[in-house]
Amino acid sequence: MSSWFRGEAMLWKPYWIGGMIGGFISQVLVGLASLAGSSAMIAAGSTVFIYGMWLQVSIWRCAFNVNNVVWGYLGRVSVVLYVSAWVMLLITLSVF
Amino acid sequence: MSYDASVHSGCVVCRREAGQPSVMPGPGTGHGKPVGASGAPANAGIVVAAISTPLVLLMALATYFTITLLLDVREELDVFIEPVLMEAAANGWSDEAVARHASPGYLLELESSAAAGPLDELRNLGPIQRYDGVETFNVQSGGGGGGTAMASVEVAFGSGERTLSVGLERIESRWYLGSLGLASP
Repeated sequence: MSSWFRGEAMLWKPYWIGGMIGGFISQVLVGLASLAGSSAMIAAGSTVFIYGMWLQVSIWRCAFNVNNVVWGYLGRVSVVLYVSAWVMLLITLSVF
Repeated sequence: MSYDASVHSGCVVCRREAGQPSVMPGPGTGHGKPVGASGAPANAGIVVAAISTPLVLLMALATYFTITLLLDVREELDVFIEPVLMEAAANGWSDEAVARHASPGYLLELESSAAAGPLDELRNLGPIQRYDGVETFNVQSGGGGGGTAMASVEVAFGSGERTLSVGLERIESRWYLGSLGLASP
């Protein structure tokens, strides 16, 4: 997986394996942590946040390791939207 | 074939043949097509920004309206809850004072003494010294000016700060108390 972060893997690996399967595991982790209490929830949330940001860097760097350059553009757009969504979520949470 | 950056400006095929890091050539990154240091086409930043900007602006707009709506709802709940709590506390949390703002369902609970326990707990807390407002809330719209809500309200009593759990019911565009008690710790 270190090749993902260095941008040496094909885009589908970080996007589908890291994003979809890793995302599913993250959701399960957060779900279990929510049952265990607020401390576990904060720990799980922080882990998922760090993993998410690591994955976005990987997707950004691997974006153009594709056979069709359109997927590269879409991969990077998905990164911009993901990070923007986090920023807006944090803004909303800071208001309340 | 030697790599000549002045000719191909980072062309992926030339970079690979020169033994430099490269990406797999696709239709957009083939021989003679310029790529950046990361293997991205030279115009990648512009294309990504052009696609992303309207979508990010839409997200920002949706976030703004969500925050505005939530602030409005919280203010509306505060406008109802604060005078109700103040009045009830001033009257010693009597059933009559609470019943003035109770929903039909909560009224039945008050009459049957089913709500006596939570009100007894409030009576032991002393006078309200400060109303800090709605902390968290959850609103379910029922349509037609109806719905229910749960709000956690921070209140400073003579015996210390406590969180009250206030259930609300909206009937014909007016709020009523649906339940009242201390939030579980």
